[in-house]
Amino acid sequence: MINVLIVEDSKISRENVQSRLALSQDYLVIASIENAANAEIACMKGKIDLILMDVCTADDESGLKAAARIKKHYPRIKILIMTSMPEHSFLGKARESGCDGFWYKEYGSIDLLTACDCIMRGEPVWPERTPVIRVGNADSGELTDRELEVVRELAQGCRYEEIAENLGITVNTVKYHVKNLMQKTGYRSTLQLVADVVEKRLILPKY
Amino acid sequence: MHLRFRERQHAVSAVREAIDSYPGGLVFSTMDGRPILVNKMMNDLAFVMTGRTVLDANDLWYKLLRSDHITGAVRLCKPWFSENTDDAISEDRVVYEMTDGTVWRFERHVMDEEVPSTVQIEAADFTELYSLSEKLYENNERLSMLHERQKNLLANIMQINHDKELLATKMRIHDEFGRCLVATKKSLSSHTLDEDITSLARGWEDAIRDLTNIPLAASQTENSPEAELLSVADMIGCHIEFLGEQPVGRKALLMLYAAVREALTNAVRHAGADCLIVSLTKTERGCHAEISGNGSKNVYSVREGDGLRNLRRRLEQEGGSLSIRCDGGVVLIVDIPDEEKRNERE
Repeated sequence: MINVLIVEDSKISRENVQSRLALSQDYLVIASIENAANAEIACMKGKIDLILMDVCTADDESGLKAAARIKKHYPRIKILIMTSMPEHSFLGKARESGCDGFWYKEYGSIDLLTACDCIMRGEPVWPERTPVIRVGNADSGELTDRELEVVRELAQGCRYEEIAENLGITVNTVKYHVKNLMQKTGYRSTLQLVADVVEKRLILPKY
Repeated sequence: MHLRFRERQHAVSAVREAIDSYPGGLVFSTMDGRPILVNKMMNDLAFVMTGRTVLDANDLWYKLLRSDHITGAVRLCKPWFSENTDDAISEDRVVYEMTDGTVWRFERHVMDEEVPSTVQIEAADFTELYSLSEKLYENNERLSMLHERQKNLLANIMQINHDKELLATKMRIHDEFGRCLVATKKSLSSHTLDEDITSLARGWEDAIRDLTNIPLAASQTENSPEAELLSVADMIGCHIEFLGEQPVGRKALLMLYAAVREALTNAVRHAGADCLIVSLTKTERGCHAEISGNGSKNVYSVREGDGLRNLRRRLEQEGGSLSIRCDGGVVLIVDIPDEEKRNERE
């Protein structure tokens, strides 16, 4: 029997995950919690084999950060990150944290139970890329990583000078990226751009 | 003698011509205001503003400073001057707008500062720079406003996203329900109900179970961070006991639970504790907490790892503090400001 911990702040999604796992005799949900910061504690006595971890959890706690801490102390525990957010950095962060898989709730082509089975067999589950969404006139895939980093900084209310300092580039380079972003998306102001990427959850600065 | 006189006259004319061709206004005077040299532009400006040419440079300057005897121009004291040190208004610098719309900046310098003997008043056409400064100021104001809106928008969007996620789940359940209806209708119309009954029943059960979750989700009360923390602590066989009154504000509460979480992890992992005591006392600014476990009492020093460092940073960012007392056992001491409490007091 595989002991599962579900970390998910939406009650309806949690119930949904539980009902999917209940279809298999192999999994036993031993706890469902809402706050990722509590997950590490739940793992301490070695009862957990698999964690299904949401990224944006209660009280703005990041599931990715919690996963990184858990993997550091308990590398044996398998972690499947699940999210409905097409945030461009989540996939990379999950890999860096040492997670075993990543599952998009809304965009995934693979069933949750199948993903869990793969992970428990030692087969990593990774989507090829972040789901492509439309940002103004452009597809999110057309925006470079650097451009998305600049948008992330803008979304946090940083000024050009602050962005330059945070990213270790010059103010002129920041302006160059912003200009390219405007050209690609067709937006006339950074406010429009930021509103769109955050609304479409391509950027979630808190996580 | 006549030649030297003519040469001197010629030199004076050359100086006057040169100073008159200077595009700004210029006056040099003695310390008591007697003009030594005034150019045409300065005389023209003084005439427009005061009704007379420069007869006393000190008198002109005091009028410019007080501006109550200036009739042909309006003194400008706009906020952006004080923000830009180069254009800052001071006792030695004033800016006027003439009736023709041009803007002039007047500056006074005492020359030969060691032994002051001459004063220079200079007027420079400031029209274009003034207009650009005004635009820059307006743009900066607009930018600040946009930044503020951007931050507010971001905060709202997070909530909207959460609502959208809930709506998406509801829609998915709605779709499942629809699929079951279509499948049942198909089975009924094709008279294959007996064969399909098992899969249909499973489909309906799943859809109904998910459907019953909707009212639960809609009536979901605010999460209790304390209940969840106590529950995970129980999972690992550790009991947490709170003594005293917990902070009122949610932010302060979350900081307290972050500290308890850190203490719990360390007490169980390093000292094998099965009970954690959180003693709380009210302070002027918020809450003072001392957190200790009942584990091993042979700890005399603690190396601050990532967890404690992050907790310290988080507390200090919010104006709180963290210290650790090691006297055999380990006590985590935290002071947490409570905004809610301060608001109540105010």
